[in-house]
Amino acid sequence: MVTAQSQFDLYENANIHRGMYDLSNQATKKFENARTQTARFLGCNNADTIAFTQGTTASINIVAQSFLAPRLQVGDNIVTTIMEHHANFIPWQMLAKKYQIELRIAPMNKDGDLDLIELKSLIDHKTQLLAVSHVSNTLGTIHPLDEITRLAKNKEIPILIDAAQSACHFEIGVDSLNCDFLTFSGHKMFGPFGVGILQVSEKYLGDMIPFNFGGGIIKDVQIEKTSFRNFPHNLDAGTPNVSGVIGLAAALKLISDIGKSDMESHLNNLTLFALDQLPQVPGIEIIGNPKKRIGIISFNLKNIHPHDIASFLNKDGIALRAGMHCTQPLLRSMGLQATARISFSIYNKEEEINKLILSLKELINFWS
Amino acid sequence: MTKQELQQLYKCEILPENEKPYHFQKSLEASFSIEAYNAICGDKYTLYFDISEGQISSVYFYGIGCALSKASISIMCKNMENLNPENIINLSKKFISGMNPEHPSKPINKKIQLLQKLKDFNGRGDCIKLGWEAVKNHFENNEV
Repeated sequence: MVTAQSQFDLYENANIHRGMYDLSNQATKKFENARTQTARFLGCNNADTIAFTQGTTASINIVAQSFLAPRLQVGDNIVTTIMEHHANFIPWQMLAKKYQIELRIAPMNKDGDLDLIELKSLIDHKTQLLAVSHVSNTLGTIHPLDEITRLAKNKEIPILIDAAQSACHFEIGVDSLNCDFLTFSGHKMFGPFGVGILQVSEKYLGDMIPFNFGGGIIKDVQIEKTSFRNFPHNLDAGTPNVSGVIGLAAALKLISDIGKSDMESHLNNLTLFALDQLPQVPGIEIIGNPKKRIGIISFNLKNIHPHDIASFLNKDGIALRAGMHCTQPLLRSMGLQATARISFSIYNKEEEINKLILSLKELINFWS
Repeated sequence: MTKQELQQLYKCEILPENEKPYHFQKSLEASFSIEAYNAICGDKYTLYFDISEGQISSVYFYGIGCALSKASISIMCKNMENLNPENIINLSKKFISGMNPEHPSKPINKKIQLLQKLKDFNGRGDCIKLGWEAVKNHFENNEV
């Protein structure tokens, strides 16, 4: 990824879709190849359904402003879940407030599994969108995407999937899944920061209207009026993050070369090993016990705040996130103020989990 | 800061203050209260101030947070009693400024200097400053 980006920045740097010279044509070709490659990565036959964005948060806000806002009427509702990252929660909350519509929140059970019966009951003919993550960034719960998508499709409700935690190591297959919006970020899959994608189903491509205006998205500009290009070229006014997109494409190639199923299997093994070993730490509380989880485990230690845990483990070379993980509604619903969170990647090993456990035991001894 | 230095500081200063914090209880009869909240990590305290003849006569606090934020607020409460609002603002500013890694710490007293030793403790500055920032903002923006 770094090499691909550096190559572009050092030797191939030019703007796209506007130059008549070789360097620009080459940059355009690389950028559009990245789009094709992203489509293939997602099991999608139509590369023109892929827009490059600044990341998952930006993508969700684009859906909120470009697709959803123009169609909302008083009495409508949006359905999401208590388990969402703020990025897949606040944009809907803001729309609900502005357009006087209802935001419906599907709960989870005490184990951290989404309550699908309740979710189903919240969707009705006034629902304008169902927005749900694939994997919880706090509990690691894997939501049953096929089942959830079916719930939405049975009532012809558009569905958005936040795949920020899952696109890296799950074969999602957007065409077969039949979701309407799917998004992920580069930085969670070995790609650059500040770049991501939004995939939109063919059904709703025509409903993605520009809302951020400027050059690069237009067909024709007259003093009286402007006409715009079609999705995905109508969203990214101005100069896109060409270098970032090229870096993202390199990251997707890396993941494909390793194999998503191998990655999923490795993360699954690490998760199971950690869940098996962590209970030997005195006073540990593993947060949630969902039926299916992967890659992420939140926990607390008796009498030691997650920030203090993270600070001390940092001194042993262990990087943990501590806090609310941008999921305040979820933590509040569980009566928690904060957690420490372990998240695994393909480069982690079982030895590192053993080291983590030793560090936690040492910290507990020190604290007492 | 090495792990040993960190352990030493916690063992000698932070943990005792965390385990037996000064005036750690609700004071519902207080003259006024201030909320100190860190939305990133969820640390949340209420600081209770009693004022008498233009001076802060007592400061209590209660809430949930990490050892650092609790120890820092505990030390702060002790140091704010018997000060007038102007001196409280000055003390808060001096402390917060001293927590800036770019600024030299200004001598206040031994306990506070120990807290300020943690200013290079990556990522924890907000924990240490939480109560101080809340107090400074309140006293600067409200008639006491």
